[in-house]
Amino acid sequence: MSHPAATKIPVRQARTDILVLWAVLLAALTMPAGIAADPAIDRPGMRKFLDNYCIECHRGPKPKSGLDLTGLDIAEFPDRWREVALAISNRDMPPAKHRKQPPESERKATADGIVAVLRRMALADAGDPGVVPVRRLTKVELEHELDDLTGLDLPWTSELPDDASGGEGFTNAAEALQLSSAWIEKMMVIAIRAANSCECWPGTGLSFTANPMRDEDRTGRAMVALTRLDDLWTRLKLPGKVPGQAVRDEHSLQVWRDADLKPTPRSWPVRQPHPDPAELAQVGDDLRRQWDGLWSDLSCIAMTPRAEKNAMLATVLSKVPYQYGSDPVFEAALQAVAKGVRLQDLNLQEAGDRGVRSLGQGIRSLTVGSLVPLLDGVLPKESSAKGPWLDRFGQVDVLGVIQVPHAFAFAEFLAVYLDDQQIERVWTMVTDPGSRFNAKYQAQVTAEQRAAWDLLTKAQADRNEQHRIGLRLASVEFARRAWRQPLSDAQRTLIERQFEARMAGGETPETAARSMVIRILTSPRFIYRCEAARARTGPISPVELANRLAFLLWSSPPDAELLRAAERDELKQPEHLTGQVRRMVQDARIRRFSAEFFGQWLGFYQFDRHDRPDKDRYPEFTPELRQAMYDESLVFCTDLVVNDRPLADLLGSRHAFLSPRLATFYGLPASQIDSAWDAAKISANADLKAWFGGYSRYHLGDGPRGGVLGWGSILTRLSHPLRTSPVRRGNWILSEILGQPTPQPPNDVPELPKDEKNDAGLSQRDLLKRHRESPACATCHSRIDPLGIALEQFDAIGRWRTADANGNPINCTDTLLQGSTLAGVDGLRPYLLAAPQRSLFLTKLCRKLLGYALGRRVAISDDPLLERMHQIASQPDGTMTALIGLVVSSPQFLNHRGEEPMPKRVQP
Amino acid sequence: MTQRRLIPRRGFLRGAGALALALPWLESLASAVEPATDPHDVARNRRFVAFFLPNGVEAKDWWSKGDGAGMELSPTLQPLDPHRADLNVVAGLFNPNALTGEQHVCSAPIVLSGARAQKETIRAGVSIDQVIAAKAGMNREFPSLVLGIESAGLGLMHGWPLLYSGHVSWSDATTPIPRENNPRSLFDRLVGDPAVTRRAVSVLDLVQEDARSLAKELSAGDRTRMDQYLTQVREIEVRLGKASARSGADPVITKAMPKPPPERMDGTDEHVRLMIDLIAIALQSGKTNVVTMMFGNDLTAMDVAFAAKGDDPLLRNHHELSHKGGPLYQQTNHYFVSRFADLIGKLKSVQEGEHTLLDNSCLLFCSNLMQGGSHDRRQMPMLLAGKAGGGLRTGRSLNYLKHPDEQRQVCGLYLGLLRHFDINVESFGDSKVVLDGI
Repeated sequence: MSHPAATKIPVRQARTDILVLWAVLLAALTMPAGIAADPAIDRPGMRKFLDNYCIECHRGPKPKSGLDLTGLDIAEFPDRWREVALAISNRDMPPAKHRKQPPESERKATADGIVAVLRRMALADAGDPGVVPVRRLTKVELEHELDDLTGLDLPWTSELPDDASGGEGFTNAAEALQLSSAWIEKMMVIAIRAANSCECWPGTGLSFTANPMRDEDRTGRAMVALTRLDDLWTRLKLPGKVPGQAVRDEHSLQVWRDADLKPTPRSWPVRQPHPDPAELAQVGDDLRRQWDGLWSDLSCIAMTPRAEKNAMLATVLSKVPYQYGSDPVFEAALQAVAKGVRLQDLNLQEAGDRGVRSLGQGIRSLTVGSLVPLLDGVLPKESSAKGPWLDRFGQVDVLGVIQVPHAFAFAEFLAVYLDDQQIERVWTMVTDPGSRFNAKYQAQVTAEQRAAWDLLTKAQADRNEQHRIGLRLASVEFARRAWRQPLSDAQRTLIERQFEARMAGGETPETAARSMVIRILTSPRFIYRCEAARARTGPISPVELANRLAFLLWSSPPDAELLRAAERDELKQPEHLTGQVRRMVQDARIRRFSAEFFGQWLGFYQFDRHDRPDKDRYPEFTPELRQAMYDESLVFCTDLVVNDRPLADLLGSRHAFLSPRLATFYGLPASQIDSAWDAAKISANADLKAWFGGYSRYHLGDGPRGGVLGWGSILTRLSHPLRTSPVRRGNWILSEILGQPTPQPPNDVPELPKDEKNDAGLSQRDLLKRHRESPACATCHSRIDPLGIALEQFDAIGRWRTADANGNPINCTDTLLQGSTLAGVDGLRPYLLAAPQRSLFLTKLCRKLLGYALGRRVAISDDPLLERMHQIASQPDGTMTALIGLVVSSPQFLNHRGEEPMPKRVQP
Repeated sequence: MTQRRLIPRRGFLRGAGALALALPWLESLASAVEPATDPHDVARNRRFVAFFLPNGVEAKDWWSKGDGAGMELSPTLQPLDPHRADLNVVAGLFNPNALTGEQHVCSAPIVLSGARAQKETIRAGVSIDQVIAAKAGMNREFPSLVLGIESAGLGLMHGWPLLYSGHVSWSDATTPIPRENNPRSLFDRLVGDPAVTRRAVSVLDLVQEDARSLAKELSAGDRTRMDQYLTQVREIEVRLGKASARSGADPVITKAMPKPPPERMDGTDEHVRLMIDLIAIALQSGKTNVVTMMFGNDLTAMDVAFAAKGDDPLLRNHHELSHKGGPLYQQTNHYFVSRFADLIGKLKSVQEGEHTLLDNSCLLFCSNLMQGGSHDRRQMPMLLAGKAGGGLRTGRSLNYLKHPDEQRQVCGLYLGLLRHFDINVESFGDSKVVLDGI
């Protein structure tokens, strides 16, 4: 079998021939650039070795350990071959009891040869972006994106199933992100929820609020404004105000409503809504803008023709004969209205509560009651006399007359329940001399009033047109933001066309816009992070790159600044790219990276939900303590990234970020608080500053805490409900910190007692010792146990202890496989920080980071990049930011695998 | 970041006192749920339900002897005693591809498919429930329901993604189906919200337009994902079309049971029972013909104190309990078999023409491991209940242990079961041989 120089190693060809390995070895040998001359690859020798010592067991339909070497294409399964090489060089294979044992030289030559072939393969394909299927948003990304899109912190995704993980063990691995029809349906419900929390006011586009109003009526808007005022009031901490009072205070709301249409300080006398300018000056431009915006919102609503028309109708209708009340103030008020005095100009405060009340009593039997029969043809079906509006505004009394509970409920009714067409029809009914209404009440409408109405109608039509166009544009803009990229003309036209089709189908502009919100959020363009296909492997577009960056660092879409940089095509300049990374790392959203990357890797992910420890044995493990432990890990990792701490701090840090509660639990006195540390100085970002400020930085001195080994979160998660688990802890150190594969346990494993208080009264350490007497267990446990036993001084909820539950003093000393002794966490920490272990740890970190960033399993073609990452990580000033910078400027990250076979050597 | 609200489990129990009392609502189910289908349309009425039990069983207490009236059941299978005549206890089957690889992670995801799980990438095989769903499920609102009682594990186990141990239902080799774990949200889906339905239906055609235009921009591999999306959206469209034919929320189901509580409930007695009730209702009301239910992920560390009596700390961790084995472990097996028996009883109480709903169904109960602690995959515990529409004889102890390997492959069983759903394929998974007697 001969390979021309340009042929690359065949990928994913199913072959079962024993010749596969040899063929591939040959291929490697005939590669260009002097590989053939590589003395490390002794092809015939390797073949002979495998024939003599391996194939006998590892072939056929039932190979040992399921490993059939004859069918194992090295191009497809490089990791297995790496394991084979490791097994050979570690003398795990052939098994010690095997009759034939190879000489050391052959062993070495073969293992090195396999490694060399793998190395050649790695170089040949270096930088291959790999196959990364289009990724669905993870549940967490979806949550963040919806938070960011709407500005609402709602539990959007609580009904979605949790994601599973794949790749290097992260939920963002493309292959693990599955979709089901149930998932899509739930996404639809989420989208509908988002649409329902969407407000569409004239001039504001689409805006989301936690207390959305169903319709664009002034009362609703007033409620919204009041809620916002309330929020603002609370945030300003203005004196004498009870949060939430404004909205619930029916009286003040009523006064506001009655004063009608023009919000002025007088209109809300109870609240004195304009804060003192001196106070406002303190709260800064941001809040002041908000404040001004709020009032301009209110006046914008008040100025709409719709509101004016409602007022006009109310005025006209108030001329209808009524049953007089007996109250003189009420009489005077009504007469004033009849003379054309605007309702809001009546000094209702002067009239006093009594006046307001009686005003209500008088009118209630007048307007709605007499109108209901006449409105039958005007009202929508569902709001006939027994419809919902009635529930809200009044009740039918024994005579069948509507009792309206307060004065201007009717005006409110008009505003809330009638749309533009219906208001027109009420007007026609009122003004049409031949109508039943007029026959009964002879409403008089002057020519000026008619002219004014027509003007208002035209103004309203103009306004509606503007509103429609505004919402159509807003829908397109929403699509652009939700889909995380500029829209093509076709996409823009599609949204506009669909919006217009909705309106043509009878939807109001608001409903059409909300329909667009639903369809935009249910679209695959939202659900998936789409990248355009390419025939050849090559660079992704700047906007796609911005997306990759943002989802890597923020688990959410790019912000405006990043998108601008992408649109100006700046990201292809390395200094701009790393500049963006530096900027993004300083953003508060970097906490999402800490939670997702470090959380999933190190194991504190969702620890804030962890509920394993036994509640009776460990009553101290309260939700507050648990949260404090989770926060400790999250703050630590965030600080590591944001403030460029040395990577080895993860293992050996001499400080911790703790809440007072956790510090007490750890037994750290307040005297160890680092008073020089100032949260305000460690981050320029206000949110981060405030967040860090919630914790104190403690000096740990010679104490046992510091880095992951001392985290309550990890120590607890790696325990059983009633006891510590040196095996779990040791296994975690071995696999997650040192990245060493742990063979799976044999089928039949004896169990340890689940409670420290066991009948034998033995310590975990002694039980494990006994366990290790079995040779089958010893191979792995002699590697696992000493590491875990060193952490025995921490109990099952991470508390320092000197005796276990049986009263045995803690003996945390054990002998490592290499023969050295490891004593306690004080011995473990320097052991892990010593050169060989530190290097393994950094390798693991790099591999995890790369897998997380690429959303796939790390491949052999990533080896050269991993090596460079490792170099950077090993330097004293190696930081997360530097590693991230390297990853995001790698060909893997910058390119997309094309559909055609990969060309050799992808250049960034 | 959103704070997840934690619901104290005890708080829920207190709050749900009335509900707990109301659990026997199922007795009144038969009268509350009106027949949703033509009882004589046997082909349309055939149902398939698969239960997965994680972490194996206590093997010495899992056996049966004899057939028919003389059939004798082991302690663990006692809850099934009233249903002996409707039962097949199937012993001695195995899944050849489960023999290698990580004991749990590689054997669980293939329990219904017989495929081989791959380590380097997420790939196994289509599972029997989904093959049936693709045929028998299509005339129902939900082609299938895939359910569970806890989220899939995160991370890797000896290099194998833990996704594997949380997914037994696969619509194709690379598509494990996410499960519904929340009874409330399952209830809401079954019942349907007319307002939501109306709005959803109105945008479905719009998003399909997106998917089609998007597919043109994507690579061939990604187009497959887009095809899946489209298929799923069409599935929803069909379903909602059927749902909106009703004027309001499904009155049949709302009448049959109260709304489950909205809180997240991970692995409790109430949780399991609610799911069983919902399965019964979903099948009876004709919402679906195919249900797959996992009583936990394989390797699950679930607290199973609810499933056995005693305060042994081992109960806090199902997987570790399985390694210890013994009476408590057996009790948890017994608990899950009892829930299986509950469902059998419920389905048996529903008459569909001359037959019962159980007669029209094929219920499968299985685990990937025999003795859990030793990860014994040389045989699997399997139970069948129901006559699968009449073609499957019941009341038998079937033991294949002494058969040659190719005649005791679990896929041979599946191949046989598929025939009862009029799916006459040559092979399924790794088998071409229909098991004797199936």
